[in-house]
Amino acid sequence: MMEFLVAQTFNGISYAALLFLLGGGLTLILGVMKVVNIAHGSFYLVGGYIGYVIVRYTGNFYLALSGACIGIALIGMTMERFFLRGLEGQNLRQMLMTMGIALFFQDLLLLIFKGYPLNLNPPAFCMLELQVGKYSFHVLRLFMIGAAAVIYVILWWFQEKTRAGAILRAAVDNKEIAQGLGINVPFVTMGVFGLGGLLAAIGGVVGCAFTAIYPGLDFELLPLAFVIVIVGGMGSLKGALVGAIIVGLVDNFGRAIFPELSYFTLFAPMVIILALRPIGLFGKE
Amino acid sequence: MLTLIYRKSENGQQLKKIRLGGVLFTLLVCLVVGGVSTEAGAAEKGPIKIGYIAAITGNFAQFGNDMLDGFKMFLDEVNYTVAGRKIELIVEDESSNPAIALTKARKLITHDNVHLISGVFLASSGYSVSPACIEAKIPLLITVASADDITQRKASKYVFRLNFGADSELGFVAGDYAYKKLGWRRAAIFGMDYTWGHEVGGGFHRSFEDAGGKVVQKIWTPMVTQDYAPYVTNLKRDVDGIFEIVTGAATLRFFKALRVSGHKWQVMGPGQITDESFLSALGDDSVGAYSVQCYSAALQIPANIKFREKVRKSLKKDPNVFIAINYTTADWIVRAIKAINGDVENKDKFLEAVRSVEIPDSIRGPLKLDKYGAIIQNQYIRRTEKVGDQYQNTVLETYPMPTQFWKYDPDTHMKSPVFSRDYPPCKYCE
Repeated sequence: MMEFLVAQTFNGISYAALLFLLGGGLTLILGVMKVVNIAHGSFYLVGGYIGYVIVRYTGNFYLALSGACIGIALIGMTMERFFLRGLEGQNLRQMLMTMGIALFFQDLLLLIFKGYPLNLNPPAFCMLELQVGKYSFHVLRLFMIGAAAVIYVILWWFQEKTRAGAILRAAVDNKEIAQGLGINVPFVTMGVFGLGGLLAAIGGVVGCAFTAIYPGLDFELLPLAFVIVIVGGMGSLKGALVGAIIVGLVDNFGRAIFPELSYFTLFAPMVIILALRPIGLFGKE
Repeated sequence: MLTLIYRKSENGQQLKKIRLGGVLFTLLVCLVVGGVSTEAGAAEKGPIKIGYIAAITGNFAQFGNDMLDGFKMFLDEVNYTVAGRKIELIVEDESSNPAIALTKARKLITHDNVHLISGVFLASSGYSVSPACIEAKIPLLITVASADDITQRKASKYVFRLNFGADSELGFVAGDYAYKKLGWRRAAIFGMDYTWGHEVGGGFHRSFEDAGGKVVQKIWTPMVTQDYAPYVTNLKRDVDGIFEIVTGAATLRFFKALRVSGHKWQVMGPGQITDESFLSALGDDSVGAYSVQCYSAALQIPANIKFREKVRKSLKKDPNVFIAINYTTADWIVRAIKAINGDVENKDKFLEAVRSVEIPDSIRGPLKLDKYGAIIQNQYIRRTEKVGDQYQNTVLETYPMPTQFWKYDPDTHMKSPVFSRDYPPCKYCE
């Protein structure tokens, strides 16, 4: 029994780490820019493919991670600057635009990489097992948890303790006044889009090693990302973290204990939280 | 889901355009043919039209294209000509959606006036397309869609299944081998929660227990599962092996979860779990896995050695079962047409010809049909191995020509329920 608890909690937390990378970027974009980014799954997937290509040619996982981050951040910023800025404040049109971009990427990836699933090899140490007493832990999963934790701390520090973070918060709270104070708000929003993409790209590369990637994965993951954002509250990084942990654990234990009800156990927490607290756990009014 | 909606509307538009074109075309044909005498020999009858349905876009796009590649490869060999008549191949995309497959089948029948339909990917598309073909009296030669029942309880003289064999047949063979040769006594079944998983798993369950084994655990997982660890952690430790039915991209995740769980179960499944197209992505994870399939790229028979070289040269990869079965189906069709000297307009003769084709030396061994229209072929037990730096499915043993009913009496078998998630009942589940 103890073994079951430890193993499943570990599985759940490590899955939550991946979900946090996915949901964190989405919540930033949604909270700061009020854009429902349907292309967020594509950020994840394209990031994974970029990582795959780099690992294939250089064999270096960390290079792949940074390459994917830069690439997706650039794609995100380009998307914001050229396709979304003109539609500011028109939520439905922005959503349709991101959907179009998502479909574009899906077909483009199919054209280039064909439909076969691809798998990326993480650094050799990630394939080891860590033995603690009678429990064994897969190092790749520990790596995912570590990566998510480090990223959360950096983002928290950036948002709360730096000048750039303060500017970002100001731009979110009141755009007009921030602009009046001389803050370049369009530049800030572009940066946020890039940051959101970057987080998804990290998720994509790590996820490629963890679950394999293939065209279509983008739309399989998108609902999970939205559940996290809705549970945690839009725009709240802390919310995304807590949301990811809740979804990861509930989903994991749900599937282990009632394998037939997996979709129910995934969406049930969302429904309950929406009913009790419609703005999400850490959302602002 | 979103892509499906998008594609549906796209197809709808195409259909409209085609219909308008169709009306004009029919008008033209009426005008031309009206005055001309129709008494003519084979050559003047125009081309033989083959409608072909495959999942060319969507999640299964790669397999859809593999199907088409295999089919075309054979038609190329005969230069799209048989018995003095040209073959015209009309390809339609089922978009991995049974409703679209049906629409496309109707289009092929009513607009293109095809002489037969082949291809069809999803099992559910097989169930949706076959009634339309039966109604229109158009022969349907399914190459992939493995829907057992269209050649069992719903059998028709118009429908033929030239694919992997029945789903349950793969399971029957695996159950027999696992008990007799691998020495399994207690097994767990782990599969995707839909028709295909249930039918293959049901076959294994029945033949394994009839041989004397016990299935002590059955786990069904949703088709879309990102992380298999929670399920794998729950697998019983004291079983001899796991019969798994997880395919597509998910097979990579499943094998990875299994390997990192640290347990050394033996694994067996239908051939799709270690399809040649994933072998390099699976890497060492799947080495040692057993599978049952009607084909392996590593099959050492003269016809296949030649075929393998040809595919490697033209497609730059190893053939997989999708390429192979579509290649042999095109061969089958050409043989049938040749036997009746191109007279496909005579439906009864044509159906009889399709039914009586036998290929003694195909790339997947000897082939023939049973009286229900299902293929009878060798099933091969394969093990994934690393040879040099390449991975392959080495053939260990051949089960010569099992039928879709295995050793069971067809009538008794068809009277019992179709295999489902709860049938056969799990008597020994703990």
